[in-house]
Amino acid sequence: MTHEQCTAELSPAEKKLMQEFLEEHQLFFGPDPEIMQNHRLEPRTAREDVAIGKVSDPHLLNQVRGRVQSGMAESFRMIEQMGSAPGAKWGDLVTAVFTASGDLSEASPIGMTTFAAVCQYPIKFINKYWTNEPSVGVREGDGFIHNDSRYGGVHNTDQSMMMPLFYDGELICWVSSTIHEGENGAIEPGGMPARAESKYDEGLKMSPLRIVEGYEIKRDILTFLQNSVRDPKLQYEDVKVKLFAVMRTMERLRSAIDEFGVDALIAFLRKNLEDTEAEVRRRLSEMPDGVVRFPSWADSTLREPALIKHNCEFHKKGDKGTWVVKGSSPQLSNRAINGVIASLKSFLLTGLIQQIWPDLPRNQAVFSSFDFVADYPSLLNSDTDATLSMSISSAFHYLIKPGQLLNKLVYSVPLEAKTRVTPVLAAQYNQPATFIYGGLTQHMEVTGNFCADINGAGQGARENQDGLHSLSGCFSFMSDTGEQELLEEELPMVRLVAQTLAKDRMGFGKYRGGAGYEQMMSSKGSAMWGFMTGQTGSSFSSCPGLFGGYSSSAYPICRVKDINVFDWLKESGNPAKFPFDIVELMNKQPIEGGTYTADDAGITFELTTEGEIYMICQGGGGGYGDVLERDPELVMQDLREDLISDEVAENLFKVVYDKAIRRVDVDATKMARDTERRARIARGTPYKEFVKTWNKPTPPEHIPYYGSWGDDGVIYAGAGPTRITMTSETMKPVFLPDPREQKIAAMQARIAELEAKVK
Amino acid sequence: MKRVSVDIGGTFTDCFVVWDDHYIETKALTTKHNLALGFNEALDSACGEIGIKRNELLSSVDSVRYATTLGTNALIQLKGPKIGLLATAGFRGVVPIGRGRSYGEGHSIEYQRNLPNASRPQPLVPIEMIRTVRERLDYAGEILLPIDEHDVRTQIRDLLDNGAEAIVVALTNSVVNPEHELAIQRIFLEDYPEHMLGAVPMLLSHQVAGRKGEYVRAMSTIMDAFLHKVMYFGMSALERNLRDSGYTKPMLVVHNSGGMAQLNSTDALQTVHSGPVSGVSAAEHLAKQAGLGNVVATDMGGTSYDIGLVVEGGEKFYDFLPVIEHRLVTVPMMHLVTLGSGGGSVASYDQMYKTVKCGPESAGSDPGPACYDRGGMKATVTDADLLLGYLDAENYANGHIKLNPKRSRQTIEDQLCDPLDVDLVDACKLIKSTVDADMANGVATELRAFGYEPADFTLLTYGGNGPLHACGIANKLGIDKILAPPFASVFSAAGAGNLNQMHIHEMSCYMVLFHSGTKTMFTDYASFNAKVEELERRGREDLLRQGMAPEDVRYRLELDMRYGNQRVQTTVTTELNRLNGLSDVAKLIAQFHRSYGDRFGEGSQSPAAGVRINTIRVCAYVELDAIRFKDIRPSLKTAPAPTPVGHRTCHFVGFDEPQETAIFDADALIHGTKIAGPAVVTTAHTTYLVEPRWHMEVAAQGAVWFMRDTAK
Amino acid sequence: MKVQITEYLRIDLDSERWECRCCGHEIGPARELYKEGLLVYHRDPREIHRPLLDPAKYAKTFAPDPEWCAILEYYCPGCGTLIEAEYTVPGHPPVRDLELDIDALKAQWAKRKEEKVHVAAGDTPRPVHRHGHGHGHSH
Repeated sequence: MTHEQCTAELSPAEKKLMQEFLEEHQLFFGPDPEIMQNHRLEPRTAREDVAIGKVSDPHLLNQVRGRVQSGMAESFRMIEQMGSAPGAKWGDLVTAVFTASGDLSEASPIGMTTFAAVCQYPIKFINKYWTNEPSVGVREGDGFIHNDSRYGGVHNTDQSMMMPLFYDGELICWVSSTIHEGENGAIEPGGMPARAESKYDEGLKMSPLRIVEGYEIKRDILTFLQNSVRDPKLQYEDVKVKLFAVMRTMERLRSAIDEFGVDALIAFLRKNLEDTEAEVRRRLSEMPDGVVRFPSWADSTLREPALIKHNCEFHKKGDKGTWVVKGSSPQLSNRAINGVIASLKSFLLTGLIQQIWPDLPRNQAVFSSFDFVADYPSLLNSDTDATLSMSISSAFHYLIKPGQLLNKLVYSVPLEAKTRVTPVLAAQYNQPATFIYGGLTQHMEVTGNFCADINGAGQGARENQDGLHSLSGCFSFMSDTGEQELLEEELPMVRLVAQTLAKDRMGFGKYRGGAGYEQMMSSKGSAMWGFMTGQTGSSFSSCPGLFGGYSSSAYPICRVKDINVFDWLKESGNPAKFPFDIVELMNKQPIEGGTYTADDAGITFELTTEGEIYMICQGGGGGYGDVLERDPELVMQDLREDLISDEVAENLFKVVYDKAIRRVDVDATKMARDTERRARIARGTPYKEFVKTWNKPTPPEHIPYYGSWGDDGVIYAGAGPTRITMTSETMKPVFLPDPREQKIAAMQARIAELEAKVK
Repeated sequence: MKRVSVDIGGTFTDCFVVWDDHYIETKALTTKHNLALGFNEALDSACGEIGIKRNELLSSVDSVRYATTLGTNALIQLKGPKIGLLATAGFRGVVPIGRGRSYGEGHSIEYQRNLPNASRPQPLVPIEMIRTVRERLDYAGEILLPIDEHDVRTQIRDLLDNGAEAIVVALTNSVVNPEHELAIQRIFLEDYPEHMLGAVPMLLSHQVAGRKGEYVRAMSTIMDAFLHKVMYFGMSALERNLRDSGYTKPMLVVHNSGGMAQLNSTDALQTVHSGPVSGVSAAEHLAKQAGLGNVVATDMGGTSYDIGLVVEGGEKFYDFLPVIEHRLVTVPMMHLVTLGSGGGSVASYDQMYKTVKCGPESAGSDPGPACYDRGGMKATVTDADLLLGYLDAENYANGHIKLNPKRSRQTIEDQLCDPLDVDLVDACKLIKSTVDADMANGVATELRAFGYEPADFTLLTYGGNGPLHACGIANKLGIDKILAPPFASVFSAAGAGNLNQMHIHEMSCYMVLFHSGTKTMFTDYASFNAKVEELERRGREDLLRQGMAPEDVRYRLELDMRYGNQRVQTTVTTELNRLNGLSDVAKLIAQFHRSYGDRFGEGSQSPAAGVRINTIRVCAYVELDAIRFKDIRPSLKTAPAPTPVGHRTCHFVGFDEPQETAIFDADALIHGTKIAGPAVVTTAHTTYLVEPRWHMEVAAQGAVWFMRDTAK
Repeated sequence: MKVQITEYLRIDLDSERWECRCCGHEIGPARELYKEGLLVYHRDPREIHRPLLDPAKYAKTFAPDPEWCAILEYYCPGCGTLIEAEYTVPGHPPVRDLELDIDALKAQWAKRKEEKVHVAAGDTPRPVHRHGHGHGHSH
């Protein structure tokens, strides 16, 4: 009998007694669904009412805002300088300030919005559970650390430090700093294990806990954390870094209090949210009412191929917007790609700010203005038992949804309405394409982390120009792909191809997406080293175009194993034969004896020996508009820059030109394009006729499929005879068999079959 | 002392001549087609004041020093040769990608955040002019792939066939082992001896920058190659002009490192931003001589606000990865931060917060503020300053620009008063107070990021709009003392008069002073000392080549150190020039500990994670005679109170009622003059605004102090 | 009055019809899915993203797998402009990607002026290359 059934039969007095008993004898302070499901602003407190009553002059509040922002810019710079994690060096960090109730009011001007947006949840947890807990409490000089995304967070590789700011004994606000730390003692090095089958494989799982008292780090707790990870040095340094950055922000906030008064700060933190929410609603009301839909599919769990649906609709009416993700994949409990809904919301918020309204402040109110509907338990609204360590692989699909959906609503809004504030554009490449590494360095240090390539995704094409090559991660701006020389100095890795723009692999259209780049990675100088990746989209293009523009390519991981390229290069005659190009290396296979493979881009951690070659592509952005509208001169420019091949120029863009001098034959091109338009009309089928034969009642039988098909309320899971069908109401977590065991079973069956033959 | 120093800016050529006891500041319009003309005009007016001929003056001075914005202008106008780049095979995309973030370098946060509208700066090397050569070195300089000479020849020929007018070679890990870059140069010279091709220079990245980072080093070399020709021609023309006018000594060129060198020992890249850097050098010199303590040097013009930092004790602030015209490079450049706030900053209504926003948009000087009446339709800071009563509409910019207050009123009423629902004066006050707060926040962030408190600083203010906004900025910062320095109108030129001849050489290294894993300390003193000696040798040779005496050469050793694997760029200037034992290593670690704690907070240090040296840098310099400023302390002299030339009604932030304000002209500024605020002093180049509760005092050599009435 | 909804689609509020912005072709009722008035073609994704790796050697080639991924191309019956390229799973019903509340739209635009040209938002206008293809653009 469940708790609900049990209490249903009790009298009100008994219920109260029961409730008191439970509160007093709580077994475990797990993630609180009430906190985790609620992305709204906390109600205005009486204290905030008083403060706003005293200080309401918007110009004065604006001065407070300037001071707070200046303080955040300062602490952000501190972390960037002091931080030890690669993520900190490349800008994957943020500092933020929250209201006393825990709403994110202001994040540092640069850095990861997503991190800050999820930090409110652990703060609300601390407020709710630790403030009055006699064994804990919240006091001046306390610092709480946290990394378990079940309590709020993107994934467990990010660690946050949160401190309360007291003034005259009163809790005024919370301040935090968050860094993508990388290594966290998980089953695979680097902090983002794709092989994790349960949360117990994910490494360090800090619920919000006090690690700082009286502004001093407690060494016993720090030691416990160091003892739990592969890089105790990193853990030691960055706890300090985060602490001192938070303390610096607090210093600035205190001086703002000294200058403007404590009410001004409280009023600012609250009004900042209310003003933002009002502006978001104003912008929504300028957009047409209606429904826009954009489903996408991931093609792997990072362990096995599978089509995983990421459904998303946006309903807009008046000044209200609702995100609906029903019909998406069910929870895959023992795969690392699940996520909690709080994190999903922050990804949508990040996408909204990155693609539609970059001028909005980065705070909780941007998202509190929206409603949200999801199935439970589902892949991105999972229960607390699901594995989350590679949630970004799924969540990155939602980073581009705001662009794909809202662009169809904002395009028509007149500029004077100040709702369309930036060009409409196709999706930026949306997979974490990077190597996660681990092992022993040439300097005899144990480490595990990931490369800055994740920040090199190609931009989507825009309504007025091409997308930029390798611009940033689709989750941040001013991020940095780093310098190869500095990476090689610290880590036992050599990239024979570091950054070469990947030809023919961006999204084509009237404007083309920006290219991503190829890289070839090898290890050198280590006795123990290995790689993993977390990219999907090798069978199904991940990054869509807009308004007739095509997606960018599908990207596999290519490997040449059982060789040592460095030894091979030493043999005379070989250096001239090495192709610095993935396609050529794979097609020509010049290194004899090598095992050449091209697989799903997501691989779990595997050890490598010196000189084996691992190759991935940073993806390109989606295309915009009809390819036949592309200016033929831009096509020639792409040819000169070796971004596309003659095949693409001729067959897709239908440009006729002299190949030797790349001069466009204008008339012939016009003719070729007219011919193609006529050919399209000839080969196209009227919609109603087309769907009669096209639409199938269920997903293809042989494809492992997860999510809805036509009807969002019916969810499929699996392939073949074992496929199950559920409804929104009967959703259940799904467990997948271990692919290695399946492989062994298949091999054993084969052996038995062959043995039977021999007999 | 007899000395000429010049700052050739985009608009004006400033000239500062020291002729024994005379200090003369003159200005002429910059003559872009032939810089010598403007220079001669400025110099001639100085000669006129002294009463001698140009030839006589130039044959008597000890040196002529140039700071120039030639390079900056060439970058803005993208005037330069067609460059071909040779990179390591597999690195073709490095420059075009620019670490991803190259779209936003040097732009406002608003721009950086607006990814959908991002564009990268026009490339100095287009993608089709990039070739790669088959070669590869690892991080330690070991050859993984020997250089393919045939391939090199093919690629060079291809670049030349495509019209390359300069070739940049930037190979991966070439700073550790320059063998391959040198080989390419050798092959190039074999095939194309200089006399044959003369005009196509080849630049090697390891010779331009000594630090690791293939992108920033390539970018530095490209920029150097891009500027080489225009700098060479521009500066040579100036040098010839000097020769023709009787100057026989070498012409000295100011570097953005805060030092200077002869033209033939100057890389073009080193001259970019040398003007503003000279200003900070002048501030440094002034602070030392006048005992000013900590100084924050600020230059507020029409479109930007430059902030430089000078602290007591002589610690130098460099950027090792400065952004020059939106491009990230690696060259040790004096630290300078530029905010996009100036007189031309556009004030607009902030819809979200129902208040005023200043910038980042700027009306610049063309069309400029609405009151310029040149078609500018947007309200700017200068429009507000005019309506608040601070500016003299008839005598703005020495009478060059007549201001039209009607235009200002119209635009501010339309764009701000209506949506804000405030009257005109209140809107103007909001603009003034917002822009002052923005600049104050910029200064505060800057100082605090280095571990300093603004209240411990004197605000040094120059530039056309500086002294007008200084009190407002100081009010927000809690600063009590403001100094408009002597020779403020040619301050950068004056700064050039005080520089030492200096060269900086640096080298990336991986030296573990303390290894946290093995618990061992650094012992390879010989290798450390050898590196330092090598860097000293390079600097010494630079100076000897320019005729300096070996015994005059001084060295300053700086080390960039970090804990564990941080990115921190804490520079430790050490008195130790060599390491000779564990105690020296311990001293270094202790020194690092101190400076790190000062900056980030005591207790933030993490020596247990290991201590490393990443860069060794040697500044080799020869101390030269500096110009002596007179004692500019206030209250050394009293003068009779000046008579105002009139009164105006002015409005001030923080005062509800308008204030009857005395107006003075430049004649009032004699040594000893004291004027109580509120007051306005109009001079040829700027306006001094003494806000209520402040007073001003004129010190020696035209220096002007603003002091808060209540200050101790 | 006509409202420009996407790069290639507009709605005539008076006739309540979807129209092609390239040729003016009347696509269908604005209260229905615009796709219903278009021609559809199922494109093998390998025609757009041609296999770069040798398909004889590798299963993954940089081209999407046609068993997993299909492209539905929607053409204007009037001029053949490619209005949408939908990436989907073979057999999956086309997505109803854009459904507008026409009454609300009319109310909104009652207060607005018709826009004849579409201007991208942003602070730096860039030259737009326009090379007509003889179908009388009426953007």
